[in-house]
Amino acid sequence: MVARIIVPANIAANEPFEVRILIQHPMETGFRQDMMGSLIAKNVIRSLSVTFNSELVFKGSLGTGIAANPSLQFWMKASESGTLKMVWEDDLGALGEVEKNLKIKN
Amino acid sequence: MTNKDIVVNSYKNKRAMIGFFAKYLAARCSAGFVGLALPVSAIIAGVQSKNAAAQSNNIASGSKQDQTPFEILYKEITNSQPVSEGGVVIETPRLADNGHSAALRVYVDSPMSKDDFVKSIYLLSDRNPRPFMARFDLSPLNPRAEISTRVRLNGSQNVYALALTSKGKWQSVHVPVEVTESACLDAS
Repeated sequence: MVARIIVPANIAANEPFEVRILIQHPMETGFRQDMMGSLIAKNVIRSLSVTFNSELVFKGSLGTGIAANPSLQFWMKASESGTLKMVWEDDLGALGEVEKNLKIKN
Repeated sequence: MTNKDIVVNSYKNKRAMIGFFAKYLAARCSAGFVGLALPVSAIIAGVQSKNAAAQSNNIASGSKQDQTPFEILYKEITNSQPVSEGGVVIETPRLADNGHSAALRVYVDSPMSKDDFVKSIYLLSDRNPRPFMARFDLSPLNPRAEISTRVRLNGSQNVYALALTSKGKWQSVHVPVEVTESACLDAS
């Protein structure tokens, strides 16, 4: 699965900035049928967490009400450069992980 | 009265009118169309009264037996604690063309300091088969209690946002969204 973290190009220390997360995932509702008419099993990203320098900054539990290929935006601030890491897990137990280095201008 | 209030009020009126119409239909159908004693018309009347009964159940939902999944979830999340209206804002198109993916931004009026911050934000929907849409956990590391995402909507309905502050206070808001193309086209 492909995922990415998008942050602004220039981030100042202790200034709020918006982080955007995109994950490629079908987010199956469990109500959809395949070509043979049998139901496709529910499979959504049930939990997702973002850490910055191993400190939790954002946590989400998603349901079937979130559109396919989830896009999430939240705000954070940082005082020093570091690594933004996102980990997620879906209903079938598939795990994903993506990292992004943040350069903070002091 | 702001423009938004008028829109919300007209929406409430619409619901009230549907309820009235449903009750009227139910009354008419239970009395029976004496003049039209044909089997076909009887079947039609039966179907209509069923629909009308279902509709009036949805709208009334006063007693405990006929609570919708949404109402059950709402009580489960808030633990039946008082919820104050306001302090939360949902920004979403009033008319969402595509129910598969509707942009939604929710923000909570909060200083996000160490003593007073928003712990979690819930997104719920009125009429989706599963009313739980998402839950987001925040901390003072987030300078703003603001989340943007894209949601699925099964037809026109109300979208609810519930926010729990660090002081244990519940705040909520709900906005009506009209959906032209529903998200659930198969079995739902």
